[in-house]
Amino acid sequence: MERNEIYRGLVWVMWAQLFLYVDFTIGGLNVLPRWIGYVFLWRAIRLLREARPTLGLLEGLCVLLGVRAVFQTNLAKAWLATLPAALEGAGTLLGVVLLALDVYFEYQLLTDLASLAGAVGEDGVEASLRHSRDGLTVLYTLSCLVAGFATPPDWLTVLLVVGTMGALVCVVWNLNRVRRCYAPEAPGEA
Amino acid sequence: MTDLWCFLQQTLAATLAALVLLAVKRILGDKLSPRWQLALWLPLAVRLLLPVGAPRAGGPVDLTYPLTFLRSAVELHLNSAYTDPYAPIACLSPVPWLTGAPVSVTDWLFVIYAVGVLVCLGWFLLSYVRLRMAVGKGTPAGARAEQLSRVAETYGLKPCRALEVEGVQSAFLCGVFRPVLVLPAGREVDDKVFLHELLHRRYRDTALGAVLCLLRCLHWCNPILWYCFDRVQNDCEALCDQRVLERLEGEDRRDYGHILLSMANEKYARAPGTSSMANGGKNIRRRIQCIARFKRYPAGMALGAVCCTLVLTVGCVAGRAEAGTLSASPAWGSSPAKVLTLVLDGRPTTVAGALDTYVKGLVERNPLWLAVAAPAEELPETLEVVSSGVSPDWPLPEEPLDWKIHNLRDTGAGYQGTLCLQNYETAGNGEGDSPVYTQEVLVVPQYQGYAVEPLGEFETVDGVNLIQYPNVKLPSLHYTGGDGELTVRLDIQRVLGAKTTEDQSASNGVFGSFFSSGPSLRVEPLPHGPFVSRWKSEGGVLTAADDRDLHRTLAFVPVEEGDWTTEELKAVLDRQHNDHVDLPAQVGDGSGGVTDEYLGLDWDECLAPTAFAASCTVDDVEHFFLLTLEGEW
Repeated sequence: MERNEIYRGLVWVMWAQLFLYVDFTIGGLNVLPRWIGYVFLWRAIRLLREARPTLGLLEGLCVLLGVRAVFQTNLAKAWLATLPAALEGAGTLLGVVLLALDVYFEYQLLTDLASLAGAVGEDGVEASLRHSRDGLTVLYTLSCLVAGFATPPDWLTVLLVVGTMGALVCVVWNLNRVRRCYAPEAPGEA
Repeated sequence: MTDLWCFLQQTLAATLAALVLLAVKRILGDKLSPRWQLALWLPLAVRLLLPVGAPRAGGPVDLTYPLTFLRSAVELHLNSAYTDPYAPIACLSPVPWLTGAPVSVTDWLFVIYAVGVLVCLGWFLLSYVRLRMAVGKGTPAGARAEQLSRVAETYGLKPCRALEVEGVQSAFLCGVFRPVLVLPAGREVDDKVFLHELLHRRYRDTALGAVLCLLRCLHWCNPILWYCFDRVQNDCEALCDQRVLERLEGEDRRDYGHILLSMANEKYARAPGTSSMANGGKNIRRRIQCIARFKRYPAGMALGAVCCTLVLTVGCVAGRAEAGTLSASPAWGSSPAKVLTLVLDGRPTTVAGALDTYVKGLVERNPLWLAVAAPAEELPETLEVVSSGVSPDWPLPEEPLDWKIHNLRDTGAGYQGTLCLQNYETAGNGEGDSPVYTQEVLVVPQYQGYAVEPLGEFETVDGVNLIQYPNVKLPSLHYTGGDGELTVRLDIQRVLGAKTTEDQSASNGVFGSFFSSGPSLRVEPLPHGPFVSRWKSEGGVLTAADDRDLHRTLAFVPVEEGDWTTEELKAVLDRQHNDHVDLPAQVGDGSGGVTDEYLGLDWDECLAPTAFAASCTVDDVEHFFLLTLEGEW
């Protein structure tokens, strides 16, 4: 039963990455909103926390980041624009807090998922996922710093976007390998 | 920090950083081990040590506007010695510094703050000296020194001098450079306590305590920061506990918790340069919780925690925008405090921005913009004009006037040039040339920005087609020089322009691109914009010793004025790309230029040089000259 749940949880995590990192808008409507990514992750955490208790620590964070993602939608931005300008400073401070939590959340999530591969003896998969996690975290952090606090040259922006997407592909590919480790056994094998 | 407002700016910025960190630590309290909990204070350390006025270090929230408003409201009624209300608030040092005798209430408040720093420092110093004296009366720990050596050897740590002191409740380390382990006289001390204190010594935690004492002194009146400093010391103790637990096994770990519990009732004093294992009952309880969670912290979080700390450090320290915004409202009849705040917040940060703000102030008859571009010494007068609500006599007609600056050069006192204004809509449309209004101006650098000082009245020049190009009717710079046989006069005219127009489609919304009628003159100034266009024209004459005008090509490159030998002139002409002009020629006839509205021009290319290295060939003999600026006609 637990094996099945881990398998399903990993599928949710893989789908979540699509919503978290890919922005696709048609006619002003974002068809891959980030907050749906956090809903998927929340479901995944609930399925996986029994197998990996430290994942349970991320549940509250996931909700918090999901709420932030809701406030990043165009509709919410339009509403936020109507608030008094004096609240802008508080919003900026909250943004810094949530950005740091975002970096932490993604890192710990992937660390725990890598440990799931290690738990079934797939040390190679675990190491591979940890490496791609490191790359993704570093590039994501740099992207946040560059985008939020400086005016980057075009080449750096392109480099960071391409690098982040490359690291993301590696993460998803390795997550798929972890998922296969927990593939449901055929009735005959059982 | 040289006045009360700088201190407020620094301590408020640090408080905001502290609040951010407290929020993050609250959320990550059960997720990060004590090692990373302590590391998360790094952004606060950077914020406290880096002055808010340092370039790009203003922090995520701009405190300048509210503080400037408060300062203007208070200081405009006072005659403070430490505060110039017409200068922007810029904290450039994290430590206070008195610059004279106090005069006003705010001066005295700053003196009280500075005295408070000294009293606090003296109190900590006195505590430390008294502690050292008490320690000095201690007796060498005979048998327990052996116990200490044994513990140090067991765990591969370096032992230190140990003394037994009467009246001490628990063991602690004292001293930053050569710490001494102070032991309670007549009481047994567990091996694990020795291990704890030896680990403090190894990681020089007493130095952290000393630094925190200094920061406590600098922000003695900020309870939020004092609370954070307490938390830092508690985190330091929790980290030391973790280091102890990493070296212990099985029952020893449980015993270590019992030892901590036995210290819960002990009095704790935060003396500088010391580390005490007992840091108060409430904190001991937190540490016991950390110990209970010792094995449950997510492992392998180093990189994640580093990235998280990096984001927080940059987020708490880096300023997103150095330059403030310029109010579009003329602020007629507003209070002087509000006007002054708007003025200081909108100060131009570029030469082009200062000129644009000055011109738009005149053309749009906006006294606030004029005040924003005015030199600091003229601010009281300009504030009075804005606050009075009475329109002054405007020197220019009410027309959509565009502007360019001719022959901008560094005079040492600032950047001087001839400001030229012309009707944007009627100029160059073939219905007769619009008059050009010219004024000599000096752009002076002031308080990390620029102000415009008019050097004369406006004059009218007719017969100029378009001011953006060089013209024979407008003034040029004259550079002269000679080598005894030949005399050269090189005339230069340089015209600089900022982005003064905007595409109308931008203001027409979705349908703008269909109904656009081309660019229109911007109404609001761009106080932080660069120069975007540069046009130039050269002319001059080459005269022989017998006063004959010669027809030759002159090659020239800009150089610094000074003593140049012929060899040096030749070398610089060989090394650099040369400009050429066929002499004799009249400056203003024919020109070339460059425009970059997106990135703007390099500032180095905008100024007219102080001298030129030049050469020409006459009768197969190459002559070299240093041409120096003689004046403007």
